[in-house]
Amino acid sequence: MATTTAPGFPEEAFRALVRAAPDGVVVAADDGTILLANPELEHLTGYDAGELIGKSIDRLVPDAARAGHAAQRATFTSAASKRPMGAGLELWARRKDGTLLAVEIMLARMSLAGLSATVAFVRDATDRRRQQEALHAHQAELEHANAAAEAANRELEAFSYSVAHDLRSPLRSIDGFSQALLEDYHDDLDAAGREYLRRVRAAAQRMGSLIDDLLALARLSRSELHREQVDVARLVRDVEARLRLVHPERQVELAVDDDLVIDADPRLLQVALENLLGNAWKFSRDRDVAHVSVRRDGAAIVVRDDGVGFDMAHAAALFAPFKRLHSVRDFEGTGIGLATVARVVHRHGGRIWAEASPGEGAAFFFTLREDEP
Amino acid sequence: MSNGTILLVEDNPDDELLTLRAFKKNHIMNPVVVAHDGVEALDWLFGTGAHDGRDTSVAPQVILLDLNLPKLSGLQVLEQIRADDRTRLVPVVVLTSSQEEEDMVRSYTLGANSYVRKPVDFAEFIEAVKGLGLYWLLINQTAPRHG
Repeated sequence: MATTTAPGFPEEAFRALVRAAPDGVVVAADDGTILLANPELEHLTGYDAGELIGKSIDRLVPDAARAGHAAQRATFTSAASKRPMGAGLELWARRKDGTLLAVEIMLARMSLAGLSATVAFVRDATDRRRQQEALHAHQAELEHANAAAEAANRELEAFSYSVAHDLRSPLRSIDGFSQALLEDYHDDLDAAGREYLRRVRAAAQRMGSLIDDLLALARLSRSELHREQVDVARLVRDVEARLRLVHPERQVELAVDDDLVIDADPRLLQVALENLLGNAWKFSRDRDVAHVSVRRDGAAIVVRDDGVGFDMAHAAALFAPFKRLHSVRDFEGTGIGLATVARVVHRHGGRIWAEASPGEGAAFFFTLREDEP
Repeated sequence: MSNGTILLVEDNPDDELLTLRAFKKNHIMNPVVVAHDGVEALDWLFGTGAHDGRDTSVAPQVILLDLNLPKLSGLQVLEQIRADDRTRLVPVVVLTSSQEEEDMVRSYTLGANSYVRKPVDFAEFIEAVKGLGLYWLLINQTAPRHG
């Protein structure tokens, strides 16, 4: 490989180039004897070139690294390639006054008047090393904070699980004895008394489903994520079959992209689709014929309906547990469905967002992986 | 002859009362023994402690076992029931109070025969005992035999 120069470019220009180089340049013969050192290397090490030429390269190597350095030199000279020295290692150079300088070194083989040698380009890495250290410290801090947050989350989930569990027991008594009163003392109660008891039971049962949903939400957060290739269309059709079974009176046209195969936890994705499609069914029930679709939209999957929709001004509260945009009187529900969907999406590292307007239907978009940077 | 005893292991007095009411309401006349914690259940089954000297030659027909018990947990009780020759084969129906527990029972290998969600829904309970081949035992107390 020949060096290319413009015609008339004088040979001494190479000398000037080495002198002007912003990196320290040092050339050593294979036995370690220094043949050349430029002014920047003098500046970095505190030596005059005259103190280096003819001496061993070892004087620039920290005491602790000197033994290993000789062996590595032999390896490098027998495998001629350009490469950074000590990849992955923090390198130090020894200055004349004995102090150490953080450096980065690139090595290349060269031939000099029939003598094979190694040229090292040496750069002061003090600032960069300091930045890296700050970055590492910052990362360690973040990891620590993350671990603490995770532990707090786990604790909270365990807490909500046991609370939900313990709430069931008094609820069973309220519902059970109300039923016993209705059945065993039916004739001793008038219509109003029986109606009150029916309301007590209805409320107890509603609280029961709230607790069930909460437990399911806590379980979602605790179970491990098992990703595999999931045929979304097939899952959607399964959920659809169940919805049609529960709501035989509904006329819903469901369109699904058939080639939706994604990498996800099938169990969790099913929970998400059950909630999203259940909502689509529920909020489109005033339509004679409702239209629901599950389609790919870029990296996202979108579940769309032409139901009552909602005002985007309230969208911020959509995915928080117990937040509802419709009154229980209009649409039944516990307010945990979308929180559950959001939990599923976040467990996959994805995002969820919605587009809607009142009377115009709603669309829920979600991804199940971290965004491409 | 089917006068098999039902052992109900339940520490919550409300659940106990509701369960006994469900039995009565559905004309199950089998004697019901109630143990209020795991230790009491094992003492009754094996004739130890408070039930020292009880004749344990006839095992109960079925055991209804709550999981959340003081002292010994329901699953520990189940383990001991399965470890003893006198009770190894007695059908055990676990009472669960959440789907979470149902999952646990389903995946559990200690030897529960079935589970019923609390409070004991009679229809569900009948399904469970039917599944255990015990339906005749409970129902022929009151209804005429059929087949």
